[in-house]
Amino acid sequence: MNSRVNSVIKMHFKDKWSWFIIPWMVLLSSFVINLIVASLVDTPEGIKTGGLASIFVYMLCGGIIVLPQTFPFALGFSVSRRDYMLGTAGMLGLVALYCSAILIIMSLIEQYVIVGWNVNLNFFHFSFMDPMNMFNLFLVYFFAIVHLFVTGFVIGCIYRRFGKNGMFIFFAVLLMIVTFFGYMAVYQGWLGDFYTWVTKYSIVEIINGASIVMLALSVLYALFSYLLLRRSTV
Amino acid sequence: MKTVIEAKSLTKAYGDFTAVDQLSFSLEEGKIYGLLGRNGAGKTTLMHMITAQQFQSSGELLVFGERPYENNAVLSNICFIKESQKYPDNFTVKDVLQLAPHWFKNWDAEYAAQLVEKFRLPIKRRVKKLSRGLLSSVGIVVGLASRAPLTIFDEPYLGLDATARAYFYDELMEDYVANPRTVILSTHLIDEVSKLLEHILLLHDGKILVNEPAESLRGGIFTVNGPKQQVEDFTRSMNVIDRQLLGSFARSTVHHSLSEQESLHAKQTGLEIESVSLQQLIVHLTSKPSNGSGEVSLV
Repeated sequence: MNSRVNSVIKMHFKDKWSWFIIPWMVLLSSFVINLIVASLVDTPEGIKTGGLASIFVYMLCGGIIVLPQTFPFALGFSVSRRDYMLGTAGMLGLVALYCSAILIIMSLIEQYVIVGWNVNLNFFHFSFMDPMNMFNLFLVYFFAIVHLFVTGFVIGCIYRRFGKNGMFIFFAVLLMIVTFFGYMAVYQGWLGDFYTWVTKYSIVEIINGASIVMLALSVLYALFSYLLLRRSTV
Repeated sequence: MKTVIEAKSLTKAYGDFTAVDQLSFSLEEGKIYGLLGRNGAGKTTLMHMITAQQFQSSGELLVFGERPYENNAVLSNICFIKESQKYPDNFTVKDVLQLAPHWFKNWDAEYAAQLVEKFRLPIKRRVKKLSRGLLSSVGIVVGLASRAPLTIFDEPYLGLDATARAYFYDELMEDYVANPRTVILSTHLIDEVSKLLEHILLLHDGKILVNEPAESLRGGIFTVNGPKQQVEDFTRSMNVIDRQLLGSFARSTVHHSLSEQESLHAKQTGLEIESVSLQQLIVHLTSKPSNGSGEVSLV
């Protein structure tokens, strides 16, 4: 890795709050609320929550925000677009590693150390994960974080390159395409076919399959982002 | 002398509007260039193209003999300080100063620390919270301490008080003498920096109006005031760049090196001779709409 790619990683590291602290403040605030609720409610089957999703949503937002925050700064100080892209990808890798590792550790604690956080709460671990080994689960988290971040990043790139109007047109067209295929899926019975096809597989196979699709999409979005950045000006 | 920047028919057009129009020029190593011109003359666009932050529509631009786009060999030798430089919201002054050495290989941390003190920069404060003047100081500190072989300042003084501006000019001069490099200074406060500038590049409506050593601009320009006929007789063989009539009186601005004999002659015929500052000259040259004829000949 050349030193200028490294310097971009160092630049991102300067913003510890956005990368390392705020995502966990978001997740932990959700966790605390759920803890309180779980301690007040007493149900035999326990409480299952989707609070875990908050950190993934944060990653999407992080991806959108990082470009306007750092790209003009870096480019203005003689960093090339390529080095910016590679350094940001490197930073994302580190952050995804860090977040996935903590999520795994929390899930282990919930499962074995303080079972259900003593209030029968399922926050970090769900029964469908039982058949997965830790490494498998780690990869699922890792790819999901990368995918959401890159999705946000490509949105940021479209805005950077084409501005407000470009953004508007992009989402208008996207909405039309989604609507069209949504109707088609219902009228042509694709939805039912898809459901029959998917349910042939186990839940673990479905999750792993989805992770691979997310990984492929991430690569695609990243390449598209780079193409947009190559023509972006400050 | 080595050429640092070479432009050939460099053009940048936005739709119908041509910001930079067929510029051809070259800048040599180890000089302080003044890039002057009115708002919208194309100065900022030109500087953005030199640093590959914007793309030319046509023409060729070489910096250190290479194309600057995505070229680390070129980019790592450039420091471009602009008024519109953006900083991430959470960055402190310290963060910026700690990153700078990674991007500018000649960075002098000790010198940067001296400058921070001189400009009274609160290094723990977030850049976003700085006043306009202090924000400009951050750029100035980075620009000076980077010691980049090509350092470009685009109106770096916005909001700076007169004392800080004087510091900036002094530091620039001192450090430039100790560590020679190529500096491009784009400014509207021409009189303040006129002593610093060694070569003037004056842009007007995207074209080069003047490309001359500052010395030749400073030395031989003056106005002649007096009765119309006498002024005309006196300036007949000279290069008149502006002429104003007030009834029977005339006021001509002339580019010419006065000989002793000529000054004596002027005095005897009752003509008044006034020197013209660089700023007044630039105002003269750029107050008229460009006639599209390109460069003004001053020599």
